[in-house]
Amino acid sequence: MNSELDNHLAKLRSKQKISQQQLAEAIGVSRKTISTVETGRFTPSVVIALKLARYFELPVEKIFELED
Amino acid sequence: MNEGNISTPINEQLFLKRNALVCIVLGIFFLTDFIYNYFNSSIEIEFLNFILFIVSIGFIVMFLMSANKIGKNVFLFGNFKDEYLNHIHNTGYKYSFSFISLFLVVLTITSSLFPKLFSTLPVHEFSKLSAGLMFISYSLPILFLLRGEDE
Repeated sequence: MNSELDNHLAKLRSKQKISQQQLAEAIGVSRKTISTVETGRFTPSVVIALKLARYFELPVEKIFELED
Repeated sequence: MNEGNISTPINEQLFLKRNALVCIVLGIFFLTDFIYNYFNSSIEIEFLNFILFIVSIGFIVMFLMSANKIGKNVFLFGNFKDEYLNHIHNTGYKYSFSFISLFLVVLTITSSLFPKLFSTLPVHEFSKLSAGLMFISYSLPILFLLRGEDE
């Protein structure tokens, strides 16, 4: 688990009422990728971060942030 | 294996899982065969090896079927498009390399300290042992990281 990086993916996803599978299909990754990113077990690349930001129409730093 | 670029994350995940299953069955097959031959074991494992052989053929068939649904780059070079699957695949390699390196270093030191201990170990039995350990240490981390998930 990455202790330095926090993300609001699960919150954003539940706000839009979409499943991990739907989000995974929308940005072209596996459901495993989404679930491990959500739980902090996997740190995604900039490409995935930007795809997520584009999907949620938010800046990347609104989805991912460094823990103080 | 398809010439086109049709790898989807689902196909890639299925391919990786079946690849790991083939490896674990082959690993067990090699290890049991080594134990049986080297230690002249009285345990009847020929039947077990026969079962493992049949199971591995089944897994290889399933593996080849899923290989037909992925790109050439994934099949030949293990370059998964999905980042997490790529990460898992590399983790498998990492564990396999580390484990076999450690095993060989320990074996080298042990065999130089106790030369008589391994003087009767034929090359083909040593190869079976190494291959078995390598396959298992590659596939176990992959299967562990691909285990069930909850949303």
